[in-house]
Amino acid sequence: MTSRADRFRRIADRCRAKPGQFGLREHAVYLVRSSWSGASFGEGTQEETVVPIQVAHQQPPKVRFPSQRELALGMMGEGDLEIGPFTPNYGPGGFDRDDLNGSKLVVGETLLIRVVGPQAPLPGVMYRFKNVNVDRALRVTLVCKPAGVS
Amino acid sequence: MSSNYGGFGGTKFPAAQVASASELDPGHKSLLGLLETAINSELGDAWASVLARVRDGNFLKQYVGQKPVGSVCDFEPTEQQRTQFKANFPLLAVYREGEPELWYPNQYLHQKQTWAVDWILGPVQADQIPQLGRFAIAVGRVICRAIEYARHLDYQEGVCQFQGEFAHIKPVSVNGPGVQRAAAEDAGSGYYGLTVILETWEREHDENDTDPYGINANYMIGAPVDTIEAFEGFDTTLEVDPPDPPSGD
Repeated sequence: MTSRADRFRRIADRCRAKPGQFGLREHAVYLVRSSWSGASFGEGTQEETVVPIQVAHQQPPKVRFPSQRELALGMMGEGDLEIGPFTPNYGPGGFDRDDLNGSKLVVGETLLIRVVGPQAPLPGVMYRFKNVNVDRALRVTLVCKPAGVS
Repeated sequence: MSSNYGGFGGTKFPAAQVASASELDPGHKSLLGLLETAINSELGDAWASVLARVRDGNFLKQYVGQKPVGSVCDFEPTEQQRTQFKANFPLLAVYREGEPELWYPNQYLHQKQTWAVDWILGPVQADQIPQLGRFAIAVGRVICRAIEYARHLDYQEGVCQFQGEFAHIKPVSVNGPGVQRAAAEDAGSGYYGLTVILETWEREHDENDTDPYGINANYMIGAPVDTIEAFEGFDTTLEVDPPDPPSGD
């Protein structure tokens, strides 16, 4: 039996899939969890576990690069990227927030985000978490920074 | 492969295939290993007793039964880095810092390098600072002793470290305990910890140099007899009291 909250989330998730179904979501987003075979972190062979971040019907989420106005006003930083909104877990759908907060990682593993699309040609661009915004009940957004920029 | 470049510090040329890139900077590997072992061995029991008094619900409670070095890393653990990997606290980080000075006091190029040794405890609450702050002071003192002795009985069976890697090594200053600088956010908030700054001297050497460098014998003063004996036959004359670098005038 699903809760009322889950029903709201399912509706929101299906609405979020519409732009993707019309072909308007150009960027695919993946969580990339890496571990290493060596004695310490970063040593040896890297093994990746890749999980796509998606909304309903396996559609990619919205990916937004900052406008000049947002940069000028300091609302987002140079190189920042906003991913989402996507929907928190609701039974059969949504995205598990524990996948975003690192609680499932083993010590020495890394968690990054790979974005692939017109603004991030193959093999894609790696981003790190800056903020996980959970300020609304039905949505999660991520603000990310390129992994190589301090 | 042919080469007559000899080496620089602990790096030998031509470098053979390596199982790990850390073999290209063996001094760094020795420092990290020695300090981790020294802190865990010297303060392990004290850490257990400190953790036993941490109240339930504090993040440190999850580390009961673990050592005072939960994880190590060999780079500066800035916010940019820490959002990318998972580590246990306390985190020990040892890394080269800043812009090393290069000059020729004799025919060999020398490099004076600053190192930072960060021991980062994590998001400590105010009521725990009295205990954990004092523990951090003890960690700083163990780091200094480990550098002075250049070995620990529990690390590689007590073998003296840094031979052939550093011509000279010494602790220079201690920063903290307080908000740890590498882990600091804006406006002075951030993770609690302590940083010890070290200084090393490395020098290039010829291909056929068999014993081109030594540990500064000044740091053997006061050391136990067996430590000094461990250096017997080891040339400490070349780099004792190395000349100052140019002042830049």
